[in-house]
Amino acid sequence: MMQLSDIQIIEKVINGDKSAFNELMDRHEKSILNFTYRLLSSRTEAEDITQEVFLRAYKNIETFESRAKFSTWLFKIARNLCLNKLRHTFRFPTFSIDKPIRGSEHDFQRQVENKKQVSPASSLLKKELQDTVKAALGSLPKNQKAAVVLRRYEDMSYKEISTVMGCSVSAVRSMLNRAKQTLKNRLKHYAQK
Amino acid sequence: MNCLKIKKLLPGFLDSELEQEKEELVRQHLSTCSECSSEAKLLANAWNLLNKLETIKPSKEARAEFWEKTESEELDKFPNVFSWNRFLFRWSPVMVAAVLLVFSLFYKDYLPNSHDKEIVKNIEMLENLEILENLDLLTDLPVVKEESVEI
Repeated sequence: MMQLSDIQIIEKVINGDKSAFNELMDRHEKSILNFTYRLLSSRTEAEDITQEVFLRAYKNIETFESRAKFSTWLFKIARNLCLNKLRHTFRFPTFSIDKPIRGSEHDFQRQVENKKQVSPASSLLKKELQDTVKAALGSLPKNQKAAVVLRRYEDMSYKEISTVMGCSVSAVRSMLNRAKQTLKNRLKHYAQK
Repeated sequence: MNCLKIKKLLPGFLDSELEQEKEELVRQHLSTCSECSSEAKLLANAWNLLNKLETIKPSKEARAEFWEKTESEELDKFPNVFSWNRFLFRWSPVMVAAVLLVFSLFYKDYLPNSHDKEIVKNIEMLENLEILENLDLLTDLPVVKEESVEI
């Protein structure tokens, strides 16, 4: 059976077949979730934002213009929500009373992590590498980070990224150039191997 | 092209986002310059390291929660049922155009044309003349009044 395109599924949803929206979610939920996760570095927040993205898409599906790709539209919503979230977090940082401050003597998580030192060296190295890559990505400015994630993990062209980010192709090129230089400098130690 | 310029083009080159001409220039340069070649390798390796990040999967609970929210927020109002809001949103430009068309067809006789404007102008002029005629400027002036008394 021939697979329906996103646009055809959207038509079905608009015509009353709400369950067809499940198909759209099956196709794009994972990408959006990982995009938001990489921007926010928190699974819970990423899940909340992903749900909000699909709620907004569902609510406004009739305003979707079929000239654009549905995935691009979703990424655009996701990017805006993530930036709002990051701005809000920056302005109003929250601290958990349950979670100990990293590095303090009550940082049990750290103590548990230290116990992991007895685990195989390769596993530790892998964890260390993951943390370094995560930190390198996290060190990028918000927009550069979004551009990198769209390019690296979603394999979007510069043109598509510019649509999601609402900027010119040359701005995307410049953002990615700077981001790649930063990543190269921060990951030099591993990249030389 | 010198090494500095080539290094600026490397990120775009690695993404295959350069124009064909520039891409060929970079390719040729890399085949002869070991410094730029190792820089390109470093950039590519750092970029590939991003693969090491974990990928997460959406949970089934999240999907169930999504549909619960759509129902609680009463979003579930797609077609089958006629919606005035949707109707007005879709057809408002057409309705505005139709109203303007009807207005212009039926009321065009009532709108002032150049002939009407000419008549109005003449009436105004006549009215002004009448006012001027009725004004007895000489007698109203105080100086004239005094003179007339002396006479």
